[in-house]
Amino acid sequence: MRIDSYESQEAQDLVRSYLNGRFENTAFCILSPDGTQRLTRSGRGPQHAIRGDLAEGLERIARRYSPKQKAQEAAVPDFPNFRLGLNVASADQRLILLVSGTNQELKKTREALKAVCNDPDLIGRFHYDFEEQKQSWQKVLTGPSDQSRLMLILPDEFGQKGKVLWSMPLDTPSADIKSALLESNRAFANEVEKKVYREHVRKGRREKIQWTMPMEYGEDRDGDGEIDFRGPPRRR
Amino acid sequence: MRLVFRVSLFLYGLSCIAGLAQLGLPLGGPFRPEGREPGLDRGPRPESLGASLAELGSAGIVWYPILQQGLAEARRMNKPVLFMSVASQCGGISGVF
Repeated sequence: MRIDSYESQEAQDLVRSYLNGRFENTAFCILSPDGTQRLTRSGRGPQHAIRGDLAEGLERIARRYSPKQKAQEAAVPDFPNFRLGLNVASADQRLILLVSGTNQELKKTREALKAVCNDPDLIGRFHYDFEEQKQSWQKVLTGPSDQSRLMLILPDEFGQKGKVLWSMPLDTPSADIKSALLESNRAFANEVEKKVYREHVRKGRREKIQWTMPMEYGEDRDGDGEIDFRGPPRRR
Repeated sequence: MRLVFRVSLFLYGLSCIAGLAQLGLPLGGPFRPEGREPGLDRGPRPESLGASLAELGSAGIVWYPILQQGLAEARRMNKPVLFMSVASQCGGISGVF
């Protein structure tokens, strides 16, 4: 599970609950399946939660729990909103499949897409977002787009705009969706360059890119409820 | 075996985790991000990092960005939850964690 630290008060309250009242940009811990118990310490990163070899630590925890249901039936992940989904897809350098439709259409498509999302050739390679409101994505996309469609989106460099690579009806057979996704992913991997993060940040500053967040930016490192740290001083 | 596959995805996808594995470090190994004060173990900032180790188009972690959806899936599968909270921007620059 990966939530955005600045997306909502709920997210920040959750981070504070795991960091003993502090709020920091990142938080990490392992939880029990019902989410009520922490199975590790919590902190800013995995090294705070699991001492020693991280992979072994994760395996050790995973072994305590026998899976109950089939992984192929896993729910298709969704974002709280398309704006965040587009930005995260850009940061992860993944294509994002936008599903637009009415509530009923989305419910049906979520079920139908499980087989696609969990296919071994596709799993972990895409992001997904389901949207009822056209306004949430219409203005930031170029290319063929419409309501009640599956649209594969290539996010731009800074995750604020996107290009529709293709658009299909919601009832497209899974095999056709899979084929199209595979082809697009292959092309994406061949044609797009990996981001070099330090250059990305420098370029963003030069171009005066701005990303506004629902919550005030900054950290509360002493846990007094007030933001007291807003990032290191910039070099001049 | 499916559980092992998913845990393997955790391991493979660690290079996607908020800036940490992009230094190309062994999992769980010590690191000293460049320019950080000794003892300040807050991890590297994106401006200190190069490119991700993961190849574009390769499989990464299947993240659930909505809390309740992730928990529902964890309960359904009886799997522990790898919880992360991250900022999908750096100093106001989007498109990066």
